[in-house]
Amino acid sequence: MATVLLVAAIVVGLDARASLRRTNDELASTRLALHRTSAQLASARSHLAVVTAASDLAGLTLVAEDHQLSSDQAALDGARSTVSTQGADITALGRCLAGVEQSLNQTAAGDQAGAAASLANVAGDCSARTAS
Amino acid sequence: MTTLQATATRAPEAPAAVETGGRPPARRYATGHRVALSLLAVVLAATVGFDAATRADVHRTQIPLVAADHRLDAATATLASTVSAAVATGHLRDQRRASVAHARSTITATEQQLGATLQTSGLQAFGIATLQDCIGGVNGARSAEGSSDLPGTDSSLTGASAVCLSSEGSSSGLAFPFDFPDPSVLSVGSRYYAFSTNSVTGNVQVIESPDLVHWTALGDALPALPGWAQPGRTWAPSVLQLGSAFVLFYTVDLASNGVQCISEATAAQPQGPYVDASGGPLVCQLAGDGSIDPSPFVGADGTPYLAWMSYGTQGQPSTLWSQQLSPDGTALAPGTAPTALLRPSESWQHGYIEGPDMVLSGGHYVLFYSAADWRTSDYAIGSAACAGPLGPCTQASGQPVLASQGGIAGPGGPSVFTDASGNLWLAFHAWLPGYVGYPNSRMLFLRRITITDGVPRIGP
Repeated sequence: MATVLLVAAIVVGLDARASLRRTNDELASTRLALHRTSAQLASARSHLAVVTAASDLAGLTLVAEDHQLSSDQAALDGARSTVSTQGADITALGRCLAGVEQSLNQTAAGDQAGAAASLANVAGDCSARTAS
Repeated sequence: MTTLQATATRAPEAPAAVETGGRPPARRYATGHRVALSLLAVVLAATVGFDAATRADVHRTQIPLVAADHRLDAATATLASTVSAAVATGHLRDQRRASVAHARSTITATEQQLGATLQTSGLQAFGIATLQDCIGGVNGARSAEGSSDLPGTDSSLTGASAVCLSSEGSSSGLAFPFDFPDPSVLSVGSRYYAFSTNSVTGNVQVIESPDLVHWTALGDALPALPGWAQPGRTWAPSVLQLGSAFVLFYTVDLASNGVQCISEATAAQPQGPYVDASGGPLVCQLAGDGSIDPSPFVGADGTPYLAWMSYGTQGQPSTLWSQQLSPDGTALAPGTAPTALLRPSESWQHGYIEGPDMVLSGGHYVLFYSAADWRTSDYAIGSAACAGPLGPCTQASGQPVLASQGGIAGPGGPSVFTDASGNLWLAFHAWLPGYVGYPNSRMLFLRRITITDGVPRIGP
């Protein structure tokens, strides 16, 4: 009976030892996992900080580029408007030149009435001025 | 424990089997048994104690384990959320970077467009200023013309010529941007002289250039007409140099009946003034309703000839003619008669040819001419291959050698000449596209030309 008890005690003791070893192993494992996770977390936080900074910088850059684009587009609109106006002026002045040349040719041919009429026809065109 | 004590109590009652060493065997056995039991009890107690301690250790170890587990769970959750946040922020960063890249691309394109537009605007501003200067010059010429101030007219046109060329553009060969119909160009030494139908600067316009680029209006090469001629209709002048003498041939109306005829005048210098001392026209085919567009040329043996055109009447077509001149070029050679060179035969000629210009190049005679209605953009320049200065001539092809194209409309009045370097040039007049017909201007154009085996090819 005593032997049985002893054996039982030993078995129980061995089981307890095994349990303690397992628990210690788990604890060590958990601590290792915790350590790794903490390292990963630190790395992730560092990465997040970098990404956040880059994102913020990109945001600021985007705002600046948007301003630049708006400015350029406004300048382009203005330049196009000037080109359009000047184009109309050139067309008008071209008609003016043609009319004045016609008048010159008619004057040379002694056609004073025709010369006057040619000039009158392009009077409006000849008043075109550069927008600049 | 109770069982052990009972066992220990019962041990002394066992019978002694063997007597050894003064003690009976039963007693020694009992004693050993008790010792064993005691040891066993101690071991058991120790085992139990050790077990209890171990379990206590397990319990103590499980506390930090649980805490570590909790911390691990928390750290894992935080890691997951951090990674998730990093991914989301990364996406946001990438979107912003993509937006930045797109914005920069758009900025680049916009700035390129802006640069091009500003350049266009600058060119336009220059073009406007040039146009205004040109208009001012032409206006000045018009005012001077109206006041019969021919020197003032010449000066204004010469001054405006460069700016008007800039505004009209010279890529099509435009050389003198004013009315200069039926041109002919004479090369004398290092200078070039161009003559034209009456217009702004008189009966025969003459302009001079050192380089075929910059032209100066010299005024009227034929300031006075003979008494038999009608003023105001002196057309298609052309000059022949014979030694140090210059002979000007031109079209002029008979004052008596208005029929167009050809006369000649002479001068000691190429620009004139030419003097027509004739008592009547040199050529006048009254049966053909008159003769126009004289063009002198020299044959391979040095003999001078005159080509011209006669109108057709009563169903007869217009005709290009040639006849030998006297050695001094002032008269038709005695004993000679006009020889027909060419009549209209191609559909593009619309039944009418005029303005001949005979060229001897590489031993080949090539006859250039104008065809169709001069007032329209159908007017064009053709060519024919001739066996000699008096023909016969054969139409070169079914198409004109120069017709309306970019920058020119209704080209005509051909005149081929050689520059100081030996290059062939074609002088002609043309309207500007969109400005066809009188009172618009037929301007002077110059283009390089090559003639290979009698076949002309005109440069762009």
